[in-house]
Amino acid sequence: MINVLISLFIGVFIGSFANLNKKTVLLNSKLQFFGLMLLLFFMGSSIGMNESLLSNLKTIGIDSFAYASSAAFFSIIFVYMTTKKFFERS
Amino acid sequence: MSIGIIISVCTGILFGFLFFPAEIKPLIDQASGFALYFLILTVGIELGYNRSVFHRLRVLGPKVLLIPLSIIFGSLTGGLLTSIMLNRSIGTSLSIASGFGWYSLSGILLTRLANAEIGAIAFLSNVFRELIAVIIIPLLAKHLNFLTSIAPAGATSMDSTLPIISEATDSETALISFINGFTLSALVPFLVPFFLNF
Repeated sequence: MINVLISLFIGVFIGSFANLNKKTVLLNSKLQFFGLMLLLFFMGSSIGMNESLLSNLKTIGIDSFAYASSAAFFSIIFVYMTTKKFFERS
Repeated sequence: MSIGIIISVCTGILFGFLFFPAEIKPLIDQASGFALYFLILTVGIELGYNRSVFHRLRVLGPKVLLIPLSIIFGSLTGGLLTSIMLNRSIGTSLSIASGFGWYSLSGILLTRLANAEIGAIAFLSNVFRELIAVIIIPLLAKHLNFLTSIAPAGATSMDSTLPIISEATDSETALISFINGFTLSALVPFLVPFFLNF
């Protein structure tokens, strides 16, 4: 968590004071996309390598998926209602 | 973007399962750590470049906290309904739901406080929550609105899913996403044990 904070602050510092031009910012967002795909690949491989997770999948998979999808679903509904009521602008 | 995300995660799972030997697991963890910090750095650069977002945030003020609050109520509602559906105890279910996607912590906490099965469900359900978030964030940003795309991410909106939110939305949403993830992450260690004794 502390590393995430440090990375973010260094980034904000560079972005604010380095006098970047549009081209560099575009390159930054391209790097962000490729980095993201790489991260997701690693994330997937650590799931694929986790044998105990995969063997548990048969017994508790459906229950786990029910918890995950319902929590995500109602979070989406509640946040959407909140944004409609309190954050609507232009 | 969603297609790219699904392909990356699935190829990763396939490679992890079929080709990568168990010995390189620490290496993969390290690599994904570096990839994450690098991504957060690029998100930071974007935020710093669009400095006006900090001003917008000051205008919004404490209202921003309505987002994590809605996610808490949404997750708990989901947990409650699932407890009825699966005929599991309400306390345990609310406890699992208040992991908000932070699978490592909620998995460890519930393995210790409850038992291995509950811990495994907490772990797996929060892994699923992150996967669901990864896949639907771009769709929510496109079809509902930017802020709603933070909802499925929960606590992960400050790290692993932040780059996706940042790609799919704008700097202001990315900043709110970070604040949201930070707030929820700080609450997980309190809410998980709290609901278990409910």
